Amino acid sequence: MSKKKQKLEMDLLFKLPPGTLGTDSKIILMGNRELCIDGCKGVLEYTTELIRLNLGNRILRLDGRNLCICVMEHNRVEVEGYFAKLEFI
Amino acid sequence: MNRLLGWFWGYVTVLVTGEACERFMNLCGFYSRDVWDFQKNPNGLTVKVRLSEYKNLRHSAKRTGVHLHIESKHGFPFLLRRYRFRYGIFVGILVFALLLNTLCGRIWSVEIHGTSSLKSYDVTSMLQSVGITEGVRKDAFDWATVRQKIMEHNPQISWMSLNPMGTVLFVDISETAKAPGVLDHSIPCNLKATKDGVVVSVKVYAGQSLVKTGDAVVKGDLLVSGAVEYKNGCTVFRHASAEIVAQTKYHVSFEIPLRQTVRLRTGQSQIRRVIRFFGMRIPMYLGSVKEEYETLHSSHEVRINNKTLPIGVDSTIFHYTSEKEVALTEQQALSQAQMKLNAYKTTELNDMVIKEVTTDYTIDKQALTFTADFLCEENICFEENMLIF
Repeated sequence: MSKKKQKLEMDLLFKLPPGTLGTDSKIILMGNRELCIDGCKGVLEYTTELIRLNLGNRILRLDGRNLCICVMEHNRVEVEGYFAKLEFI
Repeated sequence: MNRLLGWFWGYVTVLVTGEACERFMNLCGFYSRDVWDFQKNPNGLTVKVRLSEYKNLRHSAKRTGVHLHIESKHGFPFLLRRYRFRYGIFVGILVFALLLNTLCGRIWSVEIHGTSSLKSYDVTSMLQSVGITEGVRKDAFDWATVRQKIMEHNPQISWMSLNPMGTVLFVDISETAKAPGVLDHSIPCNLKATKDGVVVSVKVYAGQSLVKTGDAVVKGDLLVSGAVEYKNGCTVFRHASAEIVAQTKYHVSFEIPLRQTVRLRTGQSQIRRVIRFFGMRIPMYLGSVKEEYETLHSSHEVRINNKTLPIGVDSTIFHYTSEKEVALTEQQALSQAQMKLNAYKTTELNDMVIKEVTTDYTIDKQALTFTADFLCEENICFEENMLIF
């Protein structure tokens, strides 16, 4: 059984919300103005209309206008601006 | 709060130019540099970085091949550097800190509450006796111990509190109420007359009365006997108690000389002032007054919002005087005699009811002789213990 499946089984066994014991990134979106991502591995592309972030097993593409990365810490990124589209690639 | 702290430690706005700006951002995030507010613009990438972290950025910039250029500097360290030769600012800050510590940590005024028979200057003297004066440091005293000490040495105070609040010392006092004397009714006694008089009223509370209204008594007469004889023949010895009011007479005479040496003001005067400033007394004069004088003191203090500040002016007016022999007129001599009569009434006849006053005077070349006769009503009883063998 893959590690990911094992962790999912553990979540169900202990009746925890799925993903609690996992290593998936967490995305918190507040309206279409603020986005907070935990578990971001890095920035791939950064312009005021397009931001591409590496989340490990997938890439998050943000389209919009006046996009700005306010905070960038070890694996946490906060983005502000007007989001038009979020896409997981 | 974070912004305030950021400004306090100082930060710079840096323009990052080059091809690998995103890689530079990833390295900043990986090494947890204190960098924020990444703004992409046509020239490149502007970031804000804490002053202490700036030199660490150069390592990431070298690895990624980007160039760093400081666009602007913000914060307290830069302000300090700009004014580093303005020594007056630092001296001013030091003086301000010293003044604040000096002025706020001391008692500058005292407010006294709760006194009735005690005067404010009595309480002020009590505080001065334990070392509490204008300008003392608040933390130099253990207020509980000071309070205890004052109460021990002043039995007229039953309770006291000392509360230093800000630069004001609030003193609350409760005065001791004198307990009435307890009469010892165990010892038998008689009541005798203290003065000659005619009895006006008799109220006997204990004992056997030997006088009635209208009787004339002389000093030493037995008024109420403590030995009470009952009809069955037995005699009981009691502590006699009564109120026997009698009419008494008083005669007083004053001689007022018509030629007197008095001290009069010459008309010349001098004002001397002392400025009180935060505990210091600064005299505004030199030398001392040599002639004979009378003084008149006044004190003015600065008050703001009903609070007294430790700043004021004490003025003393010296009126020069000289001795002169004056001849009194009859009227002047009479008014002096009247003043003496009033003083006599206040001191000697205070406990009595004055029914009638008859005055008369005679005058010759040397003096005026003033006489007064008083008809009073007073309680003439005094206790005398009985000797029982």
